[in-house]
Amino acid sequence: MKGIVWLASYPKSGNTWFRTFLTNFLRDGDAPANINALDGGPIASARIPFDEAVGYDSGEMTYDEIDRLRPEVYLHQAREAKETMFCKVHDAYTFLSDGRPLIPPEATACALYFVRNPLDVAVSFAHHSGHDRFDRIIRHMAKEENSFCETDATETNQLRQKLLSWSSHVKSWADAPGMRVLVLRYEDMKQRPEETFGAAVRFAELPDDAARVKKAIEFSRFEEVRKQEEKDGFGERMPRAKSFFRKGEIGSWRESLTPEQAAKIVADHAEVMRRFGYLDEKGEPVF
Amino acid sequence: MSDLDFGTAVAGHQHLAFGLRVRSSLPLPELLPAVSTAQSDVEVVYGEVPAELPGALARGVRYQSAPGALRLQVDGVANYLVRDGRRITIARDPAADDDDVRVFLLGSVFGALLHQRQDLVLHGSAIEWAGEAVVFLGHSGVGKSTLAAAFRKKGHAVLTDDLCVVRPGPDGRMLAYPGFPQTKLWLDSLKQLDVSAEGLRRIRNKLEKRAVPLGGDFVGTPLPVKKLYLLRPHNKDDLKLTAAQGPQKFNILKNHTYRFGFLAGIDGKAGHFQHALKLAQQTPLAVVLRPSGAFLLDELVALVEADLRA
Repeated sequence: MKGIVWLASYPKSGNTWFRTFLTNFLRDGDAPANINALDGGPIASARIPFDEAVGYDSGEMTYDEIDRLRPEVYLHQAREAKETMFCKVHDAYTFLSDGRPLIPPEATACALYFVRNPLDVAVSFAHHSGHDRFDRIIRHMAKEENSFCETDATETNQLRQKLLSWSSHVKSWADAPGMRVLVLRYEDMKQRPEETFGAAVRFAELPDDAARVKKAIEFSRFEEVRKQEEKDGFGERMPRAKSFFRKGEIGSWRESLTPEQAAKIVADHAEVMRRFGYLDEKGEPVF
Repeated sequence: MSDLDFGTAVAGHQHLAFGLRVRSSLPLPELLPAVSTAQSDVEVVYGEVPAELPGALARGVRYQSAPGALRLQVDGVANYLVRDGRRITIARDPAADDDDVRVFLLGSVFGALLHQRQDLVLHGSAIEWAGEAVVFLGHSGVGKSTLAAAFRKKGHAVLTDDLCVVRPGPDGRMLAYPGFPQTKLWLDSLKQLDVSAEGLRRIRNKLEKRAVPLGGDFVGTPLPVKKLYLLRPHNKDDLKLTAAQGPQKFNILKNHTYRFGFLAGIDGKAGHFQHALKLAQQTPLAVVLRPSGAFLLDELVALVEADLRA
């Protein structure tokens, strides 16, 4: 059993960008890979693979009943996989009431955790959700009970995902006990791509081939994925969002957030922002 | 089959489902009652269920499937053993109530039983259209039951919900069989259908999903399949209907086989594929994309109606 390589992140932190890189790297083709056929999917919280692995409908179970089976589903998938399996995940690294981790280290090869300046995450997340109500997103990012897809009125195509607050999400993965985790900053992927993507490739024990890394970076450039989305659309775009690939810039929060909104994010997440180099010694945003 | 003893009449509730006579120790109020005391096709009994199935060829997280036997475990509810397409044994958890036990019995457990009988078991709901059956295929949550319920509102009887059994008829035409007179709907769907949730039983007391009895709007006889529709969500704003062709039709039936994983352990696979191929050859199939954001239920019904009339 090779185990699963988790591609973990809070939403809007470079996960899809990395999957585009990974797909290009693995295929090693002469032209950019199709963004509508990316590796690393479906997401760990997808409902259909869960139902198929378990043998009955998650739609007829409570979210806690589902969560109790999720660790076994991942072990099952890791055992069944013929080659290294890459799997995107937005869940925070959490533990069930009996102490078992939702994502078992025994099912895991390693985890690549993508982190991005929360000031930029807030802006990107709002656009992704099809609005610009930044205050609402900022509240969500500070809320420990924050979850995705937790509704009892319908059956969403994904299972409930406990995101926790942005800070707790980052810490949950960066400090996950018994897991081999490499934290990759979005800003480093942008500013020092060859070094950063190269480190990820080596950490995941993929072929250490600088030329192949360089080509995959080129094929997954923002302009390329944007062009593809404009032409053919992107299946992972939220229905209400205008586009998935919007700007892909560092520091665009400076044009979008009010000083009060930025200050609120910094106040909510100072400790983790400092730890990952998003605040300088004076407490000012670095990017 | 030595452990089967159908000769002696055991006490039990007599029901009809999927064209089979079911005798059950557990009352199954969702199913039609059977008046006949003739020998049953299926027995549902309480008993012991072994932890391991010897010779299991397929294993999921909570199922084991061997030729002629399938074990399904629902934590905190029951363990189920399905044998030879004829006998279901239930070992229930003391904490579970009847509703819990029946939800999984009438879903995956019956699905396994039908697979063992070499039936073609599709993940779909079906309605009656001018004496024929129209089947809506799709993954969980895509809106099969809601669409069937919308057709019911327009005066079309429902044949089955979620689990659709297709068997060849005497003239070779593939027939969809009636399941049982109930659909299951979430609160959002009830709202879209303008149906009050009040008085509708929760399918399990922990869930908001409701059981909607069909009463007289249920077809009790098998009907030839007129057309199949595969429902799929997309993230665009429009509805789109495209006819599927050739091998694509067979692949869709394969991908929307109910609990396809069970089949790997069952020796009925050849029969399954033979029936799927026959259905694909006989029946037109269209793929319908609907927005994942807004359901557009009325528009969807209108689109399917227009297609069926064309």
